[in-house]
Amino acid sequence: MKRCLLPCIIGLFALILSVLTTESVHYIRERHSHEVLTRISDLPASLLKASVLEFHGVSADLLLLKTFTWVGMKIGVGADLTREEWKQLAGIIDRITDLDRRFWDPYLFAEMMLTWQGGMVEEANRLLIKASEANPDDYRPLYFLGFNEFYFRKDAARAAPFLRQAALKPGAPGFLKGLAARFSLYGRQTLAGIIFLKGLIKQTTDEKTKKYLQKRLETLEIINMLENAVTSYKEKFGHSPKTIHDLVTDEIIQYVPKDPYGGEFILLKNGSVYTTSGLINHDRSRNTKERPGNLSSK
Amino acid sequence: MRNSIAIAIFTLREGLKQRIIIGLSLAALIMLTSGVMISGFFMRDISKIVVDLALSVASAGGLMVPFFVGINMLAGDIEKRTIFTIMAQPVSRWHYVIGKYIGLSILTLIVILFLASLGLASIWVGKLMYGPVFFKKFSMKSYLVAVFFNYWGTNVLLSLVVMWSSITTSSFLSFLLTLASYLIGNTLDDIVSFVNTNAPNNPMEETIQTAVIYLQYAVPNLSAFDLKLPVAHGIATSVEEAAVLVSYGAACITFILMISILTFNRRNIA
Amino acid sequence: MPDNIIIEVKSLSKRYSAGLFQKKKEALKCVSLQVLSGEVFGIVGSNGAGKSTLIKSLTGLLKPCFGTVFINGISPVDAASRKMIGFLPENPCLYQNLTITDHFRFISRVNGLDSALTAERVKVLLNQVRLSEAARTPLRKFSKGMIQRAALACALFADPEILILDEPMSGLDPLGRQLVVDLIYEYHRQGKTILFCSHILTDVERMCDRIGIMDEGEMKSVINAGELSNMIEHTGKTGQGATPLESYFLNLVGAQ
Repeated sequence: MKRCLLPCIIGLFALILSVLTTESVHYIRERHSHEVLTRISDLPASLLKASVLEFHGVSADLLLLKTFTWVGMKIGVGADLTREEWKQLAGIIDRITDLDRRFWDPYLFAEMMLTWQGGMVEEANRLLIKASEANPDDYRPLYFLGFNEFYFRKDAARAAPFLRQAALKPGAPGFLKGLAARFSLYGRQTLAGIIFLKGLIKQTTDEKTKKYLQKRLETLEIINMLENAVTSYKEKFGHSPKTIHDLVTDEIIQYVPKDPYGGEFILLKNGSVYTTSGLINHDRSRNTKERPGNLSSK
Repeated sequence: MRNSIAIAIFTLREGLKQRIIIGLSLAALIMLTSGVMISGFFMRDISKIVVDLALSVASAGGLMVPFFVGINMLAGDIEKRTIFTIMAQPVSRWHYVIGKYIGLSILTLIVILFLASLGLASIWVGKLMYGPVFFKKFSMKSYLVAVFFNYWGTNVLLSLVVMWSSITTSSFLSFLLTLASYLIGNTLDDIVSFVNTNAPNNPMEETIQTAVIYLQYAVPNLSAFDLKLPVAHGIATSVEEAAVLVSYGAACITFILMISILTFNRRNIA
Repeated sequence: MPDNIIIEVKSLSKRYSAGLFQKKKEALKCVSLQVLSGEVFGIVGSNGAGKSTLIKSLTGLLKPCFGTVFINGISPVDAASRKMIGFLPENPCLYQNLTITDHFRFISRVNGLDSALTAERVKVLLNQVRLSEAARTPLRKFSKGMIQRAALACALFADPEILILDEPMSGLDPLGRQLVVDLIYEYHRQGKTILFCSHILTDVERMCDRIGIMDEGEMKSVINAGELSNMIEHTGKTGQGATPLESYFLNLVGAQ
């Protein structure tokens, strides 16, 4: 009897260990925690505030962290968010910023995700207006509002007042002053995008996000280079190139760089350059029909 | 008053020897360390995250004193009949109430100050890790102001513990009543704003609405003392605001303690 | 009426309920009692007779419903009345995390003793209750007997005129009992008044000058210890192997 005891205990211990280390619990937990998270937007703001007692700030922090993980995980496994999920994301950000109206990170996250990837400029702008009301002295919400108007809505006239207001705020970077003018002068979104992304990268500390933005910046810089080449081509030959490869054959550039997103660069009739990837990793541009992130200028 | 102070010192000594205090410091340390790490996941408002967490740990830890140590040393004092040791001495009932309150209040102060300084240390570590650029908005003065009002709000809660313990006979009941006061005191503002929104899908009846609106004057508004958010965003509290809060808290505490003394005076201790 | 009355209880009644919705119980029914200065007064009675209720009324822990109590002319509502009293509750509970010295320090503070006197009293009392070695041990590590002795030391600390002891002998081993008995004799010799209650009749019989017998909240009888044997002879009934007090008590209480 006693001899059996030790193997029995070891066996039991091994069994417990194997149960404890299975992944299934993790999956169950994950699913439920995301279900809870995505439903938060259904709760009225005042009830959410009441339910977190005096810990508004920390709750906002933790909710945002959860949102990061949720979105990060979705994108990490290559599954883009569905229309429904984008809406939920906007709702969650709205609730998080109800808990802590001055918390800049969720607004910035919304600006980065909702516009470029989710195609929800409307929602992003609404959040940014909320941010500028909560932080009247902050130039950033106004700056991004201006950018959204210019870059996504292609409306320089509506962008200008936002940028002018932003430039007046304390601590606004000097380049903002002439930005409105420059944006409309260039008349091209590419450069605005580059300026914007550079600013965003400067503000980001997280390495993953930085890489994500840097890839986008790289692509925009290539497009900008190609568009400049097209301008040079026009100056040299008096007419526009027919395809992007004319730039190489007529020795304006040595080669057409590869799109980091895996797409192909295409020359449009008005002289701007477009990529078939739409600045989204190529294998998963299915869910959304309209991509504001692609540079198909009319 | 000499008797009250003697009871306060005795209470404080007993409180400091409770093992919960040691556990509390350990938990705080773990939370703050993980907080500094987590704040790196965020993009801009790192100082806000760290300050949020530092202040929340201080107030959550401060809450442990009324909820666990306080209930245990007031209602539990009567329940376990340790109170005889004190009441057999030439002390009046009000000496007991005031003395216990002061002792627990000093204990709360020690706990909150300890946790707040741990929080300061975590802010300092955060500054080292992420660079002072992210901590430009942080102001030592408003941090201390928030810590003080956290203490002041906890004091109101503490006086509620004293009151409930002097009314009820069991520590469990006293705990429930204190918890209810805390929950109502902290959510009342939001509930009132929910009632006032008159949203079309607002299911509340009119009688409940009026009840809620009157209730906000009957229950001390504990959320008023919560200055964690403004401080995390580097917004200073004005002198007028501070004065209003100090006097509001003082009025609450005095009133609640008066009720406690009145009920405790009439009470049989068996 | 003798003029050296130190504790006076006049038609004291007390009704209280154990819980919120429980029926009120009549714990004391019109109890009157006079304890003289310098005597040892014992209260005996079966469990639930009202002994503890009476004692708690004397120390101001319970508020009487009717009747008056005076300790040397002062009502127990006034904290000053307890300046004269050293009280040992039944099954005493001291603060578990503190040491016996912490308790002494507190008592000395509320009684306004100076530090030299305090130090001396600490030394003497720890010696008397044989707890000198455990002076710095938190009380949660004490045995039941040690707690009882520690609580007794607390009652004696301020050198009170009156000692009120509720079941001082319960939970003690024979050595501990002897210690308590010795202490009571010692204080009696110093001319202090001692009021104590017990349901162990032999203890009461061997120490008390006068004995009050309580039953169902009433003070049935107060007798002089010296008169006991005479009274037994009158009634004639004795239990087998019973002491005089036991016989008397059984006659009085057991008869109903």
